[in-house]
Amino acid sequence: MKNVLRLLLVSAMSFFASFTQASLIVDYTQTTPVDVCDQCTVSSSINVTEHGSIFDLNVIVNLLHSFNPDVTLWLTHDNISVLLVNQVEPIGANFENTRFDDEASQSIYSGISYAPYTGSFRPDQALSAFTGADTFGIWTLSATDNWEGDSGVLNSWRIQVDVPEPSPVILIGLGILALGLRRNINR
Amino acid sequence: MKPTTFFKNLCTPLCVGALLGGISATSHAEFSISATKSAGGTLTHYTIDTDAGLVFTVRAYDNGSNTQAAGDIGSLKYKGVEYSDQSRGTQLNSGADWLYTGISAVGVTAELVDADGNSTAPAIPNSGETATTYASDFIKITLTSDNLTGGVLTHYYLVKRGEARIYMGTHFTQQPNVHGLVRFLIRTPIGALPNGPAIGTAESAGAPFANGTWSYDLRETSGAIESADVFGITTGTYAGETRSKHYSNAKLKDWKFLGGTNATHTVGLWMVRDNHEGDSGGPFYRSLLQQITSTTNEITYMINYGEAQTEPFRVNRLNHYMMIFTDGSTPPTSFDTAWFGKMNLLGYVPPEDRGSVSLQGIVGQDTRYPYTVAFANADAQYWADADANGQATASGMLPGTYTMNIYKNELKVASRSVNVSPGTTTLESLISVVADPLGPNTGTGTSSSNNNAAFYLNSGDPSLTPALFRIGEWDGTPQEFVNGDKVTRMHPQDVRLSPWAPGTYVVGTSVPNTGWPAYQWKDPAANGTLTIQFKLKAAQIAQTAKYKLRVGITSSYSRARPVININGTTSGVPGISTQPTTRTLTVGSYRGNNTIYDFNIAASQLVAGINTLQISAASGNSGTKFLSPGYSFDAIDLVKNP
Repeated sequence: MKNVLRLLLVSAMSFFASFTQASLIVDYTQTTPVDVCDQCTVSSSINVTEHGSIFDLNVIVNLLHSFNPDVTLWLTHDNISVLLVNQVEPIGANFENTRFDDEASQSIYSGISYAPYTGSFRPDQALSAFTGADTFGIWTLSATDNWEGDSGVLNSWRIQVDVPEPSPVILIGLGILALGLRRNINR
Repeated sequence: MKPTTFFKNLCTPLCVGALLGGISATSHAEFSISATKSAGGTLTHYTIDTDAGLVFTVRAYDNGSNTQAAGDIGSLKYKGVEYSDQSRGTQLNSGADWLYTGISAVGVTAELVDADGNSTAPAIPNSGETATTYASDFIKITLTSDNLTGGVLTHYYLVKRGEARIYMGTHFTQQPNVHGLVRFLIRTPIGALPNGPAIGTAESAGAPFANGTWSYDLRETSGAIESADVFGITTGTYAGETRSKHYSNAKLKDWKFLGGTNATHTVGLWMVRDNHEGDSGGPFYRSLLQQITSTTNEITYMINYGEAQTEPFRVNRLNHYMMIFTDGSTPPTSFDTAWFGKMNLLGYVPPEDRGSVSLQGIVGQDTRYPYTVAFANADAQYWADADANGQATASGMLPGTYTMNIYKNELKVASRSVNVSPGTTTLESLISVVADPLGPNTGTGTSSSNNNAAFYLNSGDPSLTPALFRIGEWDGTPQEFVNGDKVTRMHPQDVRLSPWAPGTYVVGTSVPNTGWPAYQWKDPAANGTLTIQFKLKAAQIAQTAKYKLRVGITSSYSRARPVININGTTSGVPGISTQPTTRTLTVGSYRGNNTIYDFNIAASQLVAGINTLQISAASGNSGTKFLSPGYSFDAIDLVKNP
């Protein structure tokens, strides 16, 4: 009975930990350039070795390409794929420090968004599709050059993930639980 | 009120004191008005002593000079130094006797007004004498000029005891028709006031360049290069630069006062403006304000002005402003007018009879730009700056129905009608900025007829429509283009400007501030045809789609409008937009009526690969170089027309 109560206590603390004010940033960058050839699809990967439940996710891309309307970018992880941008209309070159952020004030397609798209933009599909997934594992950015005549280089990309940090309450609770189990063992 | 005292006209103050046994010469330092008659019995002038170091005279008669008039400030002495040019004086327009065609009579009257608003006339002397009347609170001089068709202009000089200030009010029931403007011009001898505002003087018009020179200082110029009001410098440090009174301009909402200082910066002479409710042109209007020559420093307070004007003149308003002497420091940026209610001024509306408008916010603001909320009707104009949430409050408004325009920088992007009631704040709900509809032009193809080229006035924000390419920003100004940051302060030929033909603009490579000019002219000697190259992929050219090229202008001179050539096919010539009828581009103003020209482009006119677009300025008028027909750019973009 006591064990059941302890289990319930830990579960409750875990639940309330999701509302904790503190968070960790899981921040990984891939700097190995990848050529984006004409009319082909290439990919680049980041291996995240930390576990954490995704609360919020942003992606920053540095892609040199001579014709933005050619380009499609996808982010994939754990069998979830999100379309970041697909063949923007305005003629221009490059995505320089382009930050895809669901909370950005303007869409990547808005009338006032232009090459080299430096700043924050809402992606084509919401990155919230990853909310609740585990950060651990392979993240893949795919870049497609759709039309003949231009090419580029994916110079770097970066993911920034907000992961809730366990609250002091849950830590104390876990500590108490651990003490309780130890006492039982010692008896 | 002290007893009036009579003086012999030719006596010195000491002589007078000796004759009358003990009347101190310092009595001239007290708040007073003195009326003087000539030997022939003509009341020649009033002398007002402010009891604050400022003593000035108002001419009360027509002296026969064609540069001077009754109602002029003939003398303007501060601490004993003369600040009014004696050959022409300081005056309304070019003299109150030259306001209305055929009218030269000017009425000049004087009053003393006490704290309760009771008015009495000053003592009038015998011929050849001066009579001084001491005042308790206020002195008021009134000029009137009656038009043949029943219009009346009334101008006031108002003085408060102990202030080195002359408050002025100008009211007219008909617009003076001799010069097409209403102004008050202070002509100061250059020796007394050799300087304009200093570097960094906030809220002043006529701020100098970083090197300390003023764009309206003609002292080193060697002759006119355009008309009789734009000058060039041919030798010395500033050879190739240009100067003009027109380049003293500033956006009306950006300045509160103009003027300058003496050689040692220990005396400042300034004009402080009012809310300009009776002016025309809105918050972004620019006009000449000051001119410095080898003989005078001319401070021009424009009540209204026809140059580069976009609105009709407003009448039946009391336009008030203030001349002030300081210790060299800048003046206050506003002044109390509550006491005007005691002065019996034509057109005065007290604060309690005015209202306010409070806008709760603007939805869809572009955070890169300031937003202005402006109000206008036939009677008055007002404006207020919007905060980051789009909230704005305009107060002190005359009751009535106004058009409220929301400006993104200087481009109107939303509009609504509002009502103002006396003593009330009208709460206006949120107003949304939406994408501007893609114009009414329904023409198709490449016909040489006009149905594929048209113009219209935007109602929303054109930038909210995604474009295949865009050059510049839709904000109602050319300031992001080549020379766009300088064109209000110098002539287009000025040596400090970059070449007006920067070469082919390559979309995706070129940038506006080095690749596209702020202005375009018909004459190739200025810049002529401009070329844009842009690349399209086959997938971007939907054969069933229609495209629009939008060319936005902020003003046009001499009926100029754009025509385009896309990959060898020339459009029709669109109609002529409504713009100021005067010079604009060469006299420091790009501020006309924002207009969008749009051209329908069929998919068949576009090619996969490099497309070449040429824009030329068309007009039936001619002219040479910078006086050829031309316009100022706002932005250019190519959009799909669904």
